[in-house]
Amino acid sequence: MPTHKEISNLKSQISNWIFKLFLVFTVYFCFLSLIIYHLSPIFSISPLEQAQNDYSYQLTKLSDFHEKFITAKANYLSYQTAVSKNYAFLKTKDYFIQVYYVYSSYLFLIEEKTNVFDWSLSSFKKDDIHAQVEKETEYLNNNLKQAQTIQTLEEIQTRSMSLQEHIKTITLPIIAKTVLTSDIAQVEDSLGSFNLLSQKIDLYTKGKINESDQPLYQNWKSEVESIKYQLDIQIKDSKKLLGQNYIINNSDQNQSPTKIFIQNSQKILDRAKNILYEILNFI
Amino acid sequence: MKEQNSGMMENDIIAEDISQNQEAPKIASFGNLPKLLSNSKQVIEKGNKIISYLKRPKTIIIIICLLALIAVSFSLLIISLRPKAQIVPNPNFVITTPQTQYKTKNIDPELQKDLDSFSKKVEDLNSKQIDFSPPVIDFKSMSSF
Repeated sequence: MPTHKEISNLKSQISNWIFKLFLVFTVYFCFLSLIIYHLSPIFSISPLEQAQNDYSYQLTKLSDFHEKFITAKANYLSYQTAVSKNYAFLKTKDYFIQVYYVYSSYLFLIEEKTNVFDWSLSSFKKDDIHAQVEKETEYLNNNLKQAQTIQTLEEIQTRSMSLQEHIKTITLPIIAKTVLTSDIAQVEDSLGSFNLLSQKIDLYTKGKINESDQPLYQNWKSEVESIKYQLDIQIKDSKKLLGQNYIINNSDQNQSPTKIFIQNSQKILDRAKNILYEILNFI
Repeated sequence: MKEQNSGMMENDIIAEDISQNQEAPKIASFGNLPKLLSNSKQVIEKGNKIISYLKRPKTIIIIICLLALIAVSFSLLIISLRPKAQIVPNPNFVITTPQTQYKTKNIDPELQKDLDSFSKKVEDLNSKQIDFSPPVIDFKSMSSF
């Protein structure tokens, strides 16, 4: 039998061990937190990337549900029984509901696209664009609740036709308009920055350019004006598209006016970036 | 100190009382229970020791330091687990990458910042273009059975 002294020694040893263990865990926890804190910017993803991942995930699920729906539909058409009809109804309902999730995540992705740049130098208001997208998301969410209560296959058929019409006439034009407006606003923002920066560089270099480099300076100025003019034309042409009922198509992605607008603007802005640095080498 | 001593004396008296009555639990004989009850005096002494140890300024400082360390670690962990904030380019704060860094002659740092900011904007326009093609939905199959 252990003596009282042994028990008390054991107790003090245990309390010492607990204290040491606590100390070690605290130090370990601190180091771990610091490591996570420093590594988090590397591994963390932006809201746009998050929205993209979510959209991809919903698309994958849609594809899975579509496969099951097609199989169930084929079975029902072959056997024409109540059981096969019910199975077809369940699979069609899954697919139909997934369509809402896909469009909600798609709208969210479009909304996130508008958050990656500053709108202060553009002629559009981000809140107005967001309001339209949010209204559409709300509509889809409300319809999703109704879709979840569907009981028959016939009801799905009617509702799917109605949803198709809504997407074609309202959702897709809103999305196309949002993407185009966002692209224009981003180019406008870049043009606004270019205008301010070229003025600053002009003031900075004015008195520092050698007499022999004066023609070069004048040509630089005219090049800056040419860039502004070309970007302005690109923006004006794209704004005309906003007035039309423009819809993004899957087939002509590379030939779409928005894609062409962005590509042309990118080329001009790359030139703009180089030209701003170029004159500074002559002072 | 007087209060502390009187408190300890009271505890000693209680402990003695308990140790004098240690025969009572033996009647119940619940395994090691009587033995444990006999240790009550030591337990109380130990408790007093721990309390006096905890009341020492050095211990208090260590506890405060540990609590502060835990608080800092928790806040760091919370910050690190937070989703990344929306990226809105700020002309006054620019993270330049080797690709955007142009080597020019010694120019005004403010102007250099603006130049880097503009370069970043142009690069973002190039890199942050995603395929926004709408999803393909098989409405035809759904509406015809």
